[in-house]
This record gives sequence, structure tokens and C-alpha cells, in this order.
Amino acid sequence: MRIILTYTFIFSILTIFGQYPKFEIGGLSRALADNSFLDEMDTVNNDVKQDFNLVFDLAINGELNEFINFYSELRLGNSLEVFDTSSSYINLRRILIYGKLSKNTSFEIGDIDLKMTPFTLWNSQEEGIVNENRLENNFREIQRYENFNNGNFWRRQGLVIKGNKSVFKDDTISFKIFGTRELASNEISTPDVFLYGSEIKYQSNIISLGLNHIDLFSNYKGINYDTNLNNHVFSTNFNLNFKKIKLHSEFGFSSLTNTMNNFDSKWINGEFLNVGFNFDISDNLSFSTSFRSVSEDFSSPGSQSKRINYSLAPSMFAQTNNNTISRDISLSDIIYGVDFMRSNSIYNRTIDYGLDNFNPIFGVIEPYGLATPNRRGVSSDLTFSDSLKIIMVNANFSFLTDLVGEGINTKRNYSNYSIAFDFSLNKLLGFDKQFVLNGGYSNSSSKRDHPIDLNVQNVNLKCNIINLGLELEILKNLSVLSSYKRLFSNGLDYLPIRSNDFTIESYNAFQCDLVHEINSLGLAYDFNKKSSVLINYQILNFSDKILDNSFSINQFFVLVQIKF
Amino acid sequence: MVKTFNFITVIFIFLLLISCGKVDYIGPPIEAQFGELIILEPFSSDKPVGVDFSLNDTVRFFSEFSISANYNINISGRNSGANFTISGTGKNLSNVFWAGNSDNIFFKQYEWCDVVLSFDNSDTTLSDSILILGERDFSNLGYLLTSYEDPSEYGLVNSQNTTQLQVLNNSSIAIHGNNFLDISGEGSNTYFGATRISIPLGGISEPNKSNIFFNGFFKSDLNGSAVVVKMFEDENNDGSYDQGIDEAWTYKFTLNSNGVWNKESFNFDNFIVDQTAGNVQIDGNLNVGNIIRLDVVCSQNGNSFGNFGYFVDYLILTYNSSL
Repeated sequence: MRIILTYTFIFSILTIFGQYPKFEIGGLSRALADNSFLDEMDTVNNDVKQDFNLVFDLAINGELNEFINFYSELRLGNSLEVFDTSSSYINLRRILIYGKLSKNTSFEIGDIDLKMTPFTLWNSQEEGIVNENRLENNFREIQRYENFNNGNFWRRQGLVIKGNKSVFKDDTISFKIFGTRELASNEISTPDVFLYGSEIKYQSNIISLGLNHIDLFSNYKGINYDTNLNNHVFSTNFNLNFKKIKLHSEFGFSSLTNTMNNFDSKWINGEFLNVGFNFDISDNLSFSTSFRSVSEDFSSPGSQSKRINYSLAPSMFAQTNNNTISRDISLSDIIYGVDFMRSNSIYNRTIDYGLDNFNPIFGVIEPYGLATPNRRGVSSDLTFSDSLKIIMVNANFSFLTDLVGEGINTKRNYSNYSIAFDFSLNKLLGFDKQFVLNGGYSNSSSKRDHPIDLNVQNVNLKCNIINLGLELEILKNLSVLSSYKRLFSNGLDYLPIRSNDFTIESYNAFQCDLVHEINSLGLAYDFNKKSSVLINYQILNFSDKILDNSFSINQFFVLVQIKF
Repeated sequence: MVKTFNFITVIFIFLLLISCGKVDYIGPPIEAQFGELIILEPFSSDKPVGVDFSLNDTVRFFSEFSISANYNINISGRNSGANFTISGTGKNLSNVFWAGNSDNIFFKQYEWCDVVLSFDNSDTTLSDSILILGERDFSNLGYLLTSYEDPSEYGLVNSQNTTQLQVLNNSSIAIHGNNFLDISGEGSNTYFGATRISIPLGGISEPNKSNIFFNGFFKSDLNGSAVVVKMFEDENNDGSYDQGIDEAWTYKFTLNSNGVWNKESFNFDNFIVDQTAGNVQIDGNLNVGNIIRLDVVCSQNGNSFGNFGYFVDYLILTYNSSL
């Protein structure tokens, strides 16, 4: 009803402004059928299936008048499982009013996408990605689309005002101010929570300088409990652009109060520093490196909130082995857990106080991205591609330590190295059809040796991810796709458990010795560049020596996609 | 160009050196939660034949562990039921002393105490026992009002509703020494008698009222029983409290009727000007140096008809902290 009223309102406006509206219509349609079942050893869990859940997203971009534009995404959904409209639904995926306040100032109100810097407001990507091929990318792209993860932007509801103006000939000074409501009060015990941010940036061809501020705060007036929460992050970033070298830096601090008493505002302050450079050695080779130091009490909900909510159970087969053993969210859930009909998701859409849970099987070097507290060290990246683009290689290295020891003076040493390649065999062999081999490997570890007289086991946690993919076009527009993904993780680490005031109050001894595998084989037919059908069968193998648990899940997918 | 690059490099190295350095570790010690606890030295004390706290003696404990552990030493008196707990973190018990103090009621003379050493996150417990040869003298913590041992320290005031007002002699019941007061009354009034204690001018050596605490031990099984502590100033220095000229102060608290001794303490800041029964506010300032009298009144928490009363012992004013 609300949607109908919204559209009635919009068309009423359109009729008033004679020379407008100007319309653009776009969208996509996806249909997914899948069937997932556990191996024959499990006789309790039922198969999980979707019988062609169909969604049709209609995007309308309308210029209502000279100053105001309108954008909306309307979703029509249905399940072909039932041959009537009882499972049909219609909802509004996005609504946005945007336009100009003046020549140099614009605004957006509604469902807005927000991003600042990796230490202030940043939606870090999900774990477990090394170099995935088209088969995995198809599903990962759908997951991100379904959960409003557009690059490193956070989708919020609120208002943003932006502006820019030239000072001299080739420079710009710009600003952005936004405010969103993160949590609605229940008028009793939960306060309204708001996010406010502002940034101002000067940019020329050589230099750029920015100042950023973000604050997550509560309005505790009017509720029975005195809940005064504030989390400020201030930062400044400074970049220099030489011919082949680009220097970048950002430093700042956070200030957090999380007391439940308005009169006892104890502020917890944290700091960070990040400096580095990118060097384009040649047209085919580039190198970048950076050093960062993030203090143990640096708190930045906008950049530390995780994309995946690991405190939830997986939506599919949360308990295995005849419902006797619970399992955590893993790679397959993050990539392939697509369901157009389900309203809840393991993907997190909230920015809240405190550090989110994470799954250490993916490594513990930087669970909260660059803004992970208590880390110091160097990260480097090397990218090479030959002039014919036959092979592209990317290598990444990170060597970090704890900035300050956790529970002991000795600091953990973290390392992560990964290598990824795309090998276009068709170009090498002179084929006119697509023949691409790609792969990647990453190794992440954390280590800390303890003195013998401490009588505590050493920290030694390793996480490895292998990714292999193949795409072979056997007939025109018909490709065979194959991918293999393997995560193997083992060892022990003592993970800090933080209280509301961000201090470490105890530790969780995390121990694992497990392997997760995904073997996929599929066929893809491209009707054109924007429309395709994919048929995919895969086996997921899970083996956990600590829990003495192993099982397999078989999955079959049919995915039809049309974009226009 | 080169100069600029060098400048940036210097800044970078400088920031690298100064940024966010810390020397200590954060969080509780890792071994306290995950280390293997091995007792390297058995639990013992340096007073195997008993300790006389009246001579300001102390008990020192010994033990050594394989890890830095969160430990608790719980001391409980077998006769009095008094308890005292010492908690800490470390690999041994060096600098852990017991001076005879208690969490609630007092330990008694010639009482055996069970001492148990336990650890967080561990089932390991170690035991010892200590004989108390002499009680600790707490009077040096402030100004001892009375422990009902010396009748010259106090007076007893009754009313028409008083049913019991007698100092009893029973060392197994008394908190300190042998004597305690049994006071009770019947009716719907709020005054059933009192202990009256005279204080010489300047007798309270602590000048700041915010640093003074009233402490006393009360035992009652009569619901609704309450205590009113009244304090009287001699503002004109004539040696007596004069209604309308001098100022009186009052504080009332309800007693726990659980039938066991309870320690009650409150800060002098809780006193308010008494403006009942002819008392009036003069300057509204409590000058500790002018206090000449203190009454501990048997009262009730309301005005219903019934029996109200309590045992009371060891009334003391302490400085800087409660008893």
C-alpha cells in the first residue's frame, strides 16, 4: 500500500511539471533454482531447495524538475514452486531523492551509499577471497547485490549533502556532510542511535588534503535508562602525486565513551597512522607498500563493522551429522547462500558499538580490515601483466605484529602472503574462444612463543586458501566452468574478549584443525553480454578433526540472469 | 622534487619511530586463564601456633605457583562466623598479610579460623588453620564510642514504651569483649530508648565531616526495627546542648531482621538537621569540633504498633573509611 501511494505521489508530481519528467528505466531479472542435500549418512536433515525463485528489479531514474531527481528500485518476486500468486511479493529495494541545492551543492535523501576512508567509514570485503573465477563471482556478485554491498560503501538511510568548488585553476575543494539513523528507539530501554559524518578535501593534480570526522552517538533523552554513547573518529589524509610515485597517508584518533551513566563519561582514546606509496615501475609492473600502526583501543564502528554477521547460524544445515553438531558460517554460506525469498541474512547491515564476531578459520591478521586494532607492520602489493594480457599476476605480503602484547609482554607476529594469477590460454594458443585458467593461494598465520615456565601453549594458527578456476568456451557462447576452493586451517590462538569499554577482560582459546572444500562444475550459456544461464553442480566437503566431524553437502543450481 | 621526497621520507621515519608505542601488555595475564597451575610451594602461614592481633601482630601467608594466577584466600571463624577474603594476582603470596580485620563481624579471641586458598579457573584448593590469641584493637581507626564494656562510656535512656534496656554479659554472643546492649520497646511510637554517649569537645580529631563514618553492629529479628543516630552540637560552648540555640543532627536507617549480627556504617554527610521535638535549624553547618553528644535510638521504620528492638555492640567513629 505504501509503495502504491509512493508511486501515485511521484506521478502526481510528474504531471505538474510540464517539461519534465525525463525517465530512464533499467533493471535486472534473476531466477534461481537449487537443491542442497547432505550425504547419505545424515538421515535427519531434510533437503533444502528453491524451485525457481524469480525476482525482477525495476530501476527507475526520473528527473522530476530542474533540481530534484528520483531513483527507485522496485522488486517483484515470485516462486514458481506454486502455480499461483500466493507467494508473490512486491517491495521497494531502494528509494532515493537527489538533486541540486545550488550550482555547487547537491543532496541525496533516502537510501544512500556512504564511504569515507578505511579508518573512518569503510565496508571491508568478506573473507576468503583470493582470486575467484566466473563461477564463484556470479554468486558472490548476487550476494553483494542482494545485501546492498556496493564496493566498500555502506548502504544507510539518511541524508547527505555534497559540494565542490574550484579555488585556483586545476584544483577543487569539496565537502560532504551526512547523517543517518542507525537504530530506532523502543522508547523504554533502547535509545535512538545516529551516525554523523563530515569530510572536507582539497585536491589538485599534485596534492590532496582531507579532514574527516565521524560520530556514532545515541540520543538517550526520553528513555528510562541513562545510555550515553559516543564514538568519534577524526582523521586527516594527505596525498602527494608525483609522476610515477603516489604517496598517501592518513592518521587520526578515536574517542569512545560507552558508559551507561551520563555523568560518568570515561573517554577511551585510540590512534592510528597509515603511510605508503604506489610506484608504477612500468606500464606492466606496479608496486605499492604501506606501513600502519593502529593502537589497541582504536574504535571505529564505521570501518570495523563486519560485512558478515558471524554470530548467526548458517541458514542451511546449521546442524549436521543428524542434528548433533552445530557448524559456523563458512565459505560456501558466504558465496552460495543465495535465497531471494528469505528476509534474514548472514550479511550484516548494521553499524553498532563494539567489535563484531569473526571466524578465526579465515585468519586473524586483520579481521577488521586496515582498522583492526592493535596491529603494526608493513603490507606490500606487486602487480604484473604482460603487454598482451596473457598473464596477470598479483602478489601481496603483510607482516604485522601486535602493537602491544595481549596478556603477555611478547607480541604476536602475523604474516600473510598471497599470490593470484589469470592465465589467458586462448591468447597464448591463438584460440578465438575463451580459455582462461586462474588461481590463487593465500597463507595467513599468527605466532607467539611463550616462555616454558609460563605453562601456556604457544600461539600458532595457520590459515591457507587455494583457489583454482577454469573457463573453457566449447561452443559459441557456451562455456564449461570449473572451480576448486580449499580452506585448511589449524592451530591455536587466544582471542581477546572485549567489554563494553573496549578493554580486554578475558580470552577465548580458539583451536581448529579443519578443511573446507568446494568442488564446482558448471555450464554457462551467454545469450548476450547481459543475459546468461548457468547450470552448476558442486560438492562441499567439511572435515573437522577437533570436533571429529566430517560431512558433505551436494548442491545443484540453475541460475538465469537478464540485465537491461 | 628530490628535496620533497626526502622531506616526506624523514617525516615517515619520524612517525614510524614515535607512533603509538606501548611497553606493557593489555588484558589479564594469559597464564591466569590458560596456564597449567602447579603448586610449587605448599600453602602455609608464619603463625602456626596462633596470632595475637591485640599486639598489632599480623599473619603472613606463603605459597608459590607455576603461573600468575588470580587467587582468593578465604578466612572464616569457626565460632564467630566472621569472614575475610583476600584476593590478588601473582605467582606467589609475597606481601599478602592479614591484620585481623573482617568483612562483617569480628573474629573472636581463642577462635580457630579455617583458611582456604583457591584460584579462578581452577579446582585446586589448599587449606590451613590459624588460632587467634588476641582480637585486633580497632579503636585506633578513629574514636571508639562504646563497646558496652565500660559503663562510664555510655548512659542508657528509656521511655514509657521501653520493654527491655539492659547490658547483657555473654562473650559468645557479644561482637567484642563480653558485653552488649539488649534494647527493645512496644507500641506505635518511634522512640523506645537510647544509648547516650558524651563526647568531649574536640574529642573527634578528624575536622572534615566527609571523612568520618559511624559504625556499629546490630542484631535484630523484629521486623521494622530501625536505628536513629542523633548528634548534638554545643555551638555556644556552654557545655550542654540547648534547644533553640544549638543544633541537632539525625540519620535513620532500617535494620536487617535476619537474626544475625550486621555491621552498619554511614558517612557523616548523611546527617540532616533535626527539626523535631523542639529542635531547630541554627546555621545548617555541622561543625565536628562542636559535637558533645551522640544518641543511638531504638526506633521503628514507620508508626505501626508492634515490638521493635535489637542487640547492639561496638559503636565506633572511623576516619577516612568505614570499618
